[in-house]
Amino acid sequence: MFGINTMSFEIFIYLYGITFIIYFLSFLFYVYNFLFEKDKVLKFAMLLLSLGLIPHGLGILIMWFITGHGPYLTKHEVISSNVWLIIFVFLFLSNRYPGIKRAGLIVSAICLILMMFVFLTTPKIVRTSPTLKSFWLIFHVLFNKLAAATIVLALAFSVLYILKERNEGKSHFYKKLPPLPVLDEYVYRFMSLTFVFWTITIVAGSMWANQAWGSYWSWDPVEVWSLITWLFIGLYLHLRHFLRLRGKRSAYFVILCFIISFLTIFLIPFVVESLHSVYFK
Amino acid sequence: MVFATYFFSPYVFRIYPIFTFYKEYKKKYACNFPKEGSWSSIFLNSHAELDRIVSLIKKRGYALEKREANLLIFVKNSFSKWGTFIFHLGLFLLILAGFMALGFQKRGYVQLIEGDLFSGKHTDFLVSELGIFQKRFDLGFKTYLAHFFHEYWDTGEVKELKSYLLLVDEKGNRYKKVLSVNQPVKFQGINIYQSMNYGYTVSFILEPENQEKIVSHFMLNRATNKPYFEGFFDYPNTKYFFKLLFYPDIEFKSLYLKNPKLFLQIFDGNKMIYEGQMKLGDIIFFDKNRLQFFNVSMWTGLVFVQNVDIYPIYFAFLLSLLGLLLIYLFPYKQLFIKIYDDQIMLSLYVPKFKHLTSYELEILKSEIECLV
Repeated sequence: MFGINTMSFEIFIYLYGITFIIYFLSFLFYVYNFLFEKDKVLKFAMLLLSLGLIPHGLGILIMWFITGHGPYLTKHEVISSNVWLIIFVFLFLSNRYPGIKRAGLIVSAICLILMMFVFLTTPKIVRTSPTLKSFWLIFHVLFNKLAAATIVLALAFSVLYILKERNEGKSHFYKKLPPLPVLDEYVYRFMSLTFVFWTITIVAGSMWANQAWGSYWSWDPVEVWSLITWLFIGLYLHLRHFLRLRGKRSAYFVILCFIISFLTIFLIPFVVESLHSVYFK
Repeated sequence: MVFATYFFSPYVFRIYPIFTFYKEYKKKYACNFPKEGSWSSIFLNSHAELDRIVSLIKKRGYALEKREANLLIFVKNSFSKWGTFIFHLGLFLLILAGFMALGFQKRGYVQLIEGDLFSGKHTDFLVSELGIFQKRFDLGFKTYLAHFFHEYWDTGEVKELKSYLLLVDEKGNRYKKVLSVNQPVKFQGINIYQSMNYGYTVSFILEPENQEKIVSHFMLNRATNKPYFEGFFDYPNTKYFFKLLFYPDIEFKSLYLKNPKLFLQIFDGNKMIYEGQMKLGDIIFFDKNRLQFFNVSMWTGLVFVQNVDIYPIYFAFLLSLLGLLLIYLFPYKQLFIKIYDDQIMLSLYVPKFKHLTSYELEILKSEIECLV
């Protein structure tokens, strides 16, 4: 590695280790709350999740300092920063909608899995290409991360909806969850936010492409998958609005949308040769 | 297919005709008294003055739309009703712009060597893409590449690429322009973009025995993550193929031209007839030919685009975003206050997120109760 600051890098590794332990403990508290119906534990789980953001955020900042660019180039940076934002958005929204706190069980599980991917990838120092020096990059990347965060929340509520419908009245955990129509509406709310954020991502990316390459749209594989994801989310919103797609069907459709968006964000740019893959080395 | 059948089967026969939807839509937004089922309602006991209740609700961003003796109707975000229309209008304009581009766009790509002049004629483009209603792409000006600048990070990745151009219009006026990635230059309605394709050009003079000299320039591409440039070419008007590997700086393995060295393999068909190294100015002999490596310069790709004007596209993008924000972030709300003898009924209508906004009624209830 060229020019790597060894000490900063060691601190970064320690911080990520601490982060993983905190997130794991938080997840254990959520599981405990789920299995043994102890509501007090929920507070600890939320608190730990919030605390985990500190070392995690510091780790991202150190890597930012080492590489000289934001967390949007390598697999390690992309996944790690997405996890940070998913948790941040979840905590921020759980202040506004206290009913969503129990979704932390699913959110923390997804984030733990993603953090394992982070640990499996080696952090690399990749410098920014001149194409990335654009005002539109900020909007493109930030809103894509926000879209990833909100679709994870939509997925969490879809899973909770399906579980609650199957196990209604069986345990204290499900009784404490918001009623089914409210869970369903949370799914709708987060999907609508995802649609807004995904649209801004595509718009900003398109503007940027025109600035850099003189073309708004190049039918690049990542662009196409992004369009497919957007169309699926749009289809969900239309089905819901016009054809009253509700409940379990809605939840399954959201899971499908999540899978497609996951492929678009985390798999396609790293696997398929595309204009984007130049940046996701 | 199975998935689609599972989801759509119950709905196939229930798709609303568009005019029915329009009626529904009109009915939804008509400022009538609450209809059963679409509303969240709450009762409270309060003897607060009506004017104080009105001012309290106005503070929450609602506008009073109708006031009768025992009925108040408020609305919030009434402009949000236009959100769906605005969003779809934006999308429609975008699709229209896409079709316009498909029909009228002109794009051309050239590779220029430092000191080279591009005539701007349609036939001289290396690659051109024309809309279906376009036949030619003539720039109407000439482009001269005066200098190409390249800079690298410590990791060897490209940091900056710049082309110093001299544009010459039909009257012979000259304009100096500096082009870099993400900073296109606009000249006579045509945008010029810096391509990420670039490299070194190595030039040779080949003198076959008893024949005229053949001068050739070979544009080499950078090898991925390597400190050299490479290429495989056929030498024009000969039977030979050249495999070239060019180090701009053999000593420090840097990408800047300092101590260049060329590794050359010459093939006659599949048979390699020469292999060796050359420095700038070196002469070699092979197969009764004299070959001189006489020059090194940079080459770069330039993209010329004449497109649909950008502003309608920006406008369409903005419209669709505005529409989305209106639909989902500023939802339309209607609040009804019906006053009975000893009670007040608050009813809130929202077209979306009914359950998630019903808490607003609870807050209003407590605030109105506090007014007394």
